[in-house]
Amino acid sequence: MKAPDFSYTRAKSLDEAITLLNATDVDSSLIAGGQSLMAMLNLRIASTDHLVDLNGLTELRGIEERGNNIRIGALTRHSEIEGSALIAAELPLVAEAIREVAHVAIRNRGTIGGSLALADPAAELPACMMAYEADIIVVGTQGEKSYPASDFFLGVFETALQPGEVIKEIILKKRGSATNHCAFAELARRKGDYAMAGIAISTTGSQQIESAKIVAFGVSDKPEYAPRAEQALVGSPLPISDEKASQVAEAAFSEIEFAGDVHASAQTKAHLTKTLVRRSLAKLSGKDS
Amino acid sequence: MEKQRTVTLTINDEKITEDVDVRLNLVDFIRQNVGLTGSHVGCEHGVCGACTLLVNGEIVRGCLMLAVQADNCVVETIEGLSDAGKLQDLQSAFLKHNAAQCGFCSPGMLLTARELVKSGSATNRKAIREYISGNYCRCTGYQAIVDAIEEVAQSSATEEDAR
Repeated sequence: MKAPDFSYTRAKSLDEAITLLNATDVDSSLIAGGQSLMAMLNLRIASTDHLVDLNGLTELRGIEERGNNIRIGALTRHSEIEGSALIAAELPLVAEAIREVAHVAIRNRGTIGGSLALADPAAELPACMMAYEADIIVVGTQGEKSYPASDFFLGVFETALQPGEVIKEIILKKRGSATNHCAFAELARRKGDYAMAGIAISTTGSQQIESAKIVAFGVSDKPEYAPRAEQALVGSPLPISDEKASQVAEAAFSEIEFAGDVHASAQTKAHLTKTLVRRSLAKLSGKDS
Repeated sequence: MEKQRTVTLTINDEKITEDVDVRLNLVDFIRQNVGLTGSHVGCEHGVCGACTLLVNGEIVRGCLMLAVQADNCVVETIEGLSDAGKLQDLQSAFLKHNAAQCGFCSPGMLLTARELVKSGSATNRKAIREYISGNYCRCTGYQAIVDAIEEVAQSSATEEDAR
């Protein structure tokens, strides 16, 4: 089907985009990669009076080192993340997860800012931002604000973004040293589908686990931490024993509030989550493995 | 806040300037305004791959881009790539292995297959299947398509080794 009627402006600056977005006389939506928004407009499950196109805003692009942090501009394409040696070295969880996002043609246009703003509960990047405890930098009429990823995803397609705010960039700590490990696992019916269940894990500690973040996605209305499972993992020597992996998986299985969807029931998602936690911990590794 | 906009883009080496409705998507522009009907419209929500086009050298979904977003871009379609001989090996292999029946998926499939072979990651049939899983075929059952791509990938890998 074809998209409903709308007008269009190609923003020439971030300030212009924010001004347009906050105008009270017309309902505006932002478009970046458009890989979700255009699909929703074409299916007529979304509509807007006015599209504000962010694609010309170079200040929103770029992957760069900032001391101990990595900065990823909101307009960075998934394919740029996939091809980035810096991200492969310093954010291995993201480098692994990005290969599961849709297909090449989608990744050439889709952006990280768009993925986070959309907050599909089965998407890979929101879960990785939570596992890596990223800071999401947002700009509005009042200036810049920083949202911790752990507080950003509130529900199905619901984030902490206020109306009129634009995601500018994401700041993450470098995780490339030997004291960091990560694991990512996703189950989808077909390659490229949204996850039926997925796990993103990030840990610190080289001989034994000092801290852990375990995030389940695709199994609830938003990505979920498993804090009791994380606690069960802390102190475990590396590599993780089968027994410990099962124990941690069981903790995650018991504490997460699972929600079924069209692909699988809550019970199935709970079972898949337990399996994926166990499998992920078995391959918990640094970038050299 | 425009309802119409002038776009200028290069399509298969030809510079084209036109006034378009802002909600016209790129593949519809290519088909209706430019008359290049080799790119097809299937699902219109980005999953079937029939609308696959090259924009600035990268494959994209033509149904998920607005024509106005392709302003100042370089677009290549199946017609341009084929005429320039950039799909010769794949097209021959597709013919040899009977990888096209109705042909609806074929332009998108060929563009995606070309990216796959260029990337060097067509190392086994599973990898091929995963890469082309964003291009749906309703006729062939994919086997012949994978055969064709495998043959081209193997012979290009052999050429690489020979160099």
